[in-house]
Order: sequence, then structure tokens, then C-alpha cells
Amino acid sequence: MSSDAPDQPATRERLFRLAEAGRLSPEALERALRLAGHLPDRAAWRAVADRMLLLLGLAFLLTGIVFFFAYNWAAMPPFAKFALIEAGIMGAVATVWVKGLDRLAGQAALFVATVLVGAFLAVFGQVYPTGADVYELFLTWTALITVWVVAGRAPALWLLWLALVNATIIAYWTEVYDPFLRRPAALTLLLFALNAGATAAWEAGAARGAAWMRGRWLPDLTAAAALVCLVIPVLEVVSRHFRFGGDPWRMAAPLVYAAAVAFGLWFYRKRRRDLFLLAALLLSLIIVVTAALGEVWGTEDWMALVLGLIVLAQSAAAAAWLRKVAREGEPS
Amino acid sequence: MMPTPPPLRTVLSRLRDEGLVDDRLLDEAGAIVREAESDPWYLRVLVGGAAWFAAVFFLTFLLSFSAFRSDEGMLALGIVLLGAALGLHRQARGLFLEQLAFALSLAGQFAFFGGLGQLLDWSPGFWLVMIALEAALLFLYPEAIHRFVSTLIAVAAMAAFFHAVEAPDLVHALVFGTAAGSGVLWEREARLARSRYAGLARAVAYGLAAGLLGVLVLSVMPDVEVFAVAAWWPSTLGLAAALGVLVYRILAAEAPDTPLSGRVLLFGSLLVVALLTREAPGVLGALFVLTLGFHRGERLLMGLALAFLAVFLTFFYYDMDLTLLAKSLLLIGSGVVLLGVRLALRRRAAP
Repeated sequence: MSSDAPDQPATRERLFRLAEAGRLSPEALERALRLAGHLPDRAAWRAVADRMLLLLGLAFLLTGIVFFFAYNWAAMPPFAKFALIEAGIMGAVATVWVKGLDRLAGQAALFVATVLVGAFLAVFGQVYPTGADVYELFLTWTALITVWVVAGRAPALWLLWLALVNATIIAYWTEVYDPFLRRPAALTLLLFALNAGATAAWEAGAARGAAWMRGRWLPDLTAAAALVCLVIPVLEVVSRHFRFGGDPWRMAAPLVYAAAVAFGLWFYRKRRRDLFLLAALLLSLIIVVTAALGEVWGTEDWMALVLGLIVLAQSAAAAAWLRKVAREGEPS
Repeated sequence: MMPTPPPLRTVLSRLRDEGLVDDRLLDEAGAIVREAESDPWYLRVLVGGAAWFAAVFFLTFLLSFSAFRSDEGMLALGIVLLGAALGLHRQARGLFLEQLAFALSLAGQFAFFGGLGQLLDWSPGFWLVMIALEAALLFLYPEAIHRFVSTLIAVAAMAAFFHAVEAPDLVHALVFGTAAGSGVLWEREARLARSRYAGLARAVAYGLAAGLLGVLVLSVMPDVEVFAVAAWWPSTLGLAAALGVLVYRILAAEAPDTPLSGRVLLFGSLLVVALLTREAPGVLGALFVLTLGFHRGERLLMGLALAFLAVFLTFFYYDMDLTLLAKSLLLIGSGVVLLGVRLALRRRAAP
């Protein structure tokens, strides 16, 4: 075999480039895509069909159950409703018992049980309207499922749990603590801290080699949520022409943002390569810088032209840098 | 996470052993693929999104001149900007100039369609011009993101045309056409790779799939009265046919030995889900794009289908055409069918 034969991975793009150059026939291209794992074989079809039928089937079933109880069918006696949901929870927990938490079916059943706990609490609120605040429902739901979530060791369960904690904080803040939302920066910074903390915890767990933490979609999602929570108060400061109105949280937001972006760019380039999060950080920088310049210079007449060119220059520089990082090897 | 593919050397050696390529390719492949790199989707979103923002700034600047504020002025401005964009794209070297050309093209299209739309009073002829221009841009501006955007705009213009001719029910033909079109293009991907339309086909296939999902959102937005479609079951029927053909072709390629009872199970359950979700075509639309995405190894397409399904079900909750009870029963029914098919397939596979 020639020593010039490439050692680079047989990516889709490289195989298509060979076909475009006329060096692979359609049959050879299809075969190459299959050999490189880009097209599924029979075993892959069997595995993914099994997974998708289970997950989509349960997703439709759960959504249907939520719709059913939201309908609040008056003709159905309250105890029948409770019995139905409790039977569902018991059935799901029994499935977890039989299948175990190492199998997809067991994990999916545990997820069903955690969602049905929320449905039970919602129906309880329908049957016994006590005037309780919405945050209490979220808080109780979160507390009741926490042990299952810890035991489940599944990203989807943790995502549900984190979403409920976020919802509890937002509901408590807007219903009890600050109903007129006089300190929005404090709320968004608190949500940033929560989601950034969750991301950090996940990264630490992944670094320690936890097998179930190998996937990247959850930390990508929580980090992006944290970034959105941080950009909101910064844009608020910009839109108020850089006035803080005596709010210390508003003053803190730009400093925290600068520190978070600097740390994020270093961490996701040097410690754990994640191009998605690097792109998200750069996109947030483009938005903040452009908004700040627009606030200082205005966005009319010639300034609009200048801002348009600055947006293009920033995005071109960001894309060039990201491509450079993509070509670098994985951090050691 | 997608595992790293094996080295090109390994794949080409296997192809050589199977007689599909000659020895020389192993020597020459390195030089041919050197520049073959593709940006991940989020980088494309960043680049495309920035071009949209820049286009809005450019138009704000240009429309500050009174000469461009009339309908004719906007039309002329659009033509000039489009011409400048096409010229710059041919000459552009480097990311900044490529981005500038893209933004000029978008600004030109905004101005051209804004001016012409006012002049023609948004008549059916205007929407046909829009479709024709986007079709022309597919060839005149050979760049993947631009072609994707052009396809999306053309699909939206087609829906608007059906409304303008007071035939909103023709949207069902659009649903079937985009599904069939994307399916055929993905199926013929390998054959088209050697033609000069390779890049065009891929971008249009993505645009048609995304356009299909976009059109299906209309089915759960009854407040959008301009698209007051009488019933959505014809769309579901078309999608069931498209998904049926796709499943048939996959079975023929991957499992031709599937017994008749297995085929009856698969196609029968597809029919039951289609009947249950006849007024919610988004369910079969998502299943079609998801299956197509896995069939062609396109994870982005699969992600798009799953994200769409979440959005569709959220909108579906608020859809006023059906009661929550009816919606819950059709979703529970579909879920039970899918879980039943899984159980049956596992029983068959068990030794």
C-alpha cells in the first residue's frame, strides 16, 4: 500500500470530494459511506428502530396523558383520576424494577414515573384548589423526584430536574419575592449561577470518568442556558445607556459576563474542546459588542452601514478562529 | 457522540479489495481530499445569522436616502444590490468578502421583494416572480447556506401563492411535493455526487426538508387565517405515502428477507398512526424526516425532526380545532402503536 495514502478520518466530506473528482462511482461512494459508518447497516437499523420506537412511543404516550389530565374531564370522578395516575406511576416503577436502570427501557420508565408525579400534583391541585402558588407545585415535584433522579444517572432525568429547579425559582421570584420584577438582573444572575453550576458539576463528573456523563448534549444545553441568562442583564445595562440605576446586580452583570466569557473561551479550547460552546460564546460577544456600539453611536444613517460592516468583520473573524481551533488537535 | 470514522486509507483499501477502485486512488487520494472540510451546523448558523443582521443594517442605511424610499427606488436598489452581491461572490476571496456578498444578496432580496410587492400589490404574479428569482439564485449564487435560504424562501413563496390565488388547500400538494422532493434528492445523493449539481442537490434537499416542517407548523396555527385550510388529512395521507415508500425502499435495501407478516405489521401500524393523527400531519412529517435523516446518516436532519416534533406538540396543545381529550387520545393511541410495534419486532428478533 502506498505511504501517501491518507491517514485522516474518512469523513463524509472527504468521500464526497473523491466522488466529485470522478474517482468514486456512485456504488463505490455508497459502499465507502457504509464502511466509514456514515450510513447505517442492518444492525444499526435494528438498534435505532428499537430505540426510536421506545422513545417516541413513550413521548407520545406521556404527552397524551398530560393532555388528558389538562382536559380536566368533569365526568371522571376524582378518585378515578388519582387511581389512573398512581397505577401509571406504579407500573413505571415496576418496569424499572424488572428492567433495571442499566437498560434504556428501565431509564425510560423512570422518566415516565417522574413526569407522572408532576401530573399527579397538577390533578391534586385541580381536585383540591387550595390557592397554593405555582412555585409550590414545582418545588414539591422537584423534592419528590430528587432521589429517583440521583439513582437514575441519566442525562434526561437531570435535565427535567434542572428545568424544575429553574421553574421553581422563576415562579417563587415572580409570585412571592419580587412580583413587580424590580430586580430582574438579580433573578437572571441567580439563574446563570444555577445553570453554570450545573454545567461545572457535569464537567467535573465527566472528567472523573463517569460513563453516563460522556455525552455532550446536556452540558452544551445548560451552558447555553447559563449564557442566555447572563446576556439578558448585560443587554439591559446597554439599553439603559450604561446606567445601573443603583442596582448592584446590574453593575455586577457586565463584570460577571466578561469573566465568564474569558473563562469559557479558555476552558472549552484548552481543557475540554467544545466548538459548539466556543461558537455560542463568540455569538454572544458579537451581540453584546454590536449592541454596545449601536447604543453609543446610534443605528441610523451612516452608522447603520458601519455597524453592518462590523457585524460581518466580527463573524468572519469568529468563523476563522473557530476553524483554526477545529484544526488543532484535542487538548492534552 | 458520533465515533471518529476509520482512516481513509482503511476504507479505500477495502474498496480496492472489493474491486470498486484501482490502486492509483490510494496514492492520489491525499491530494484530492486535502481541502475537503465542512463547517459544523452551528458555525453555519453563526455565519448566516450575522449576514442577516448585517443585511438589516445595510438596508437601514440605504433607506435613509429618500431616493430609495419609493417602491420603484426600492426595486432598483434591490436589483443593484443583487448584481453587486453576485459580482462580489464570484470575485470574493476570504471570509469577510464572502460574508459581505451574502449580506448584500439578502439586503438586495429584501429591497427587491419589498418594492416589487408594493408595485404589484402582492398579487399572485409577485409570488411567482419570487419563486423564479430564488430558483435562479440557486444557480447564480453557488453557496450552500445561500441555496438553503433560497429554497426555504421559495417554499414559503409557494404557500403564499396558493393563498393569493385563493386555493389554500393546494398546500397539501406543497407538503407532499417537499417531502417527495427531499426524499428523492437524498436517495440520489450518491448518483448526483459526480454531477455538477452535487452541492446544489444537498442544499436544496435540506431546504425542502426544513420547508416541509415549516409548512406543517401552519396546521397547528389556526389563528393564521390567511392559511385557513379546511382539513389537514390530505397532507397526512401524502406524508403516509412518502413514508411508506421510504420504508419500502429501506426494507428492500437492508432487509429484503423480511417476511410478509413483518411487512404487514410495519405498513399496518403506519396506516393506523396515519388514521389517528390525520388532523395532525406534523407527527408523520417528523417521522418522515427522522427516518430519512437516519437512512442517509444525516444527524442534523434527525435533530431538526426531533426539535420540530417538540415545537409541533407544544403548538398542538393550544390548537383549537380539537378538544384536549381528542388530542390526548390520538397521541396515546399513536404511542401505544409505536410501543406495540417495538414489542412485536423484539419478539421476532428473539432466538
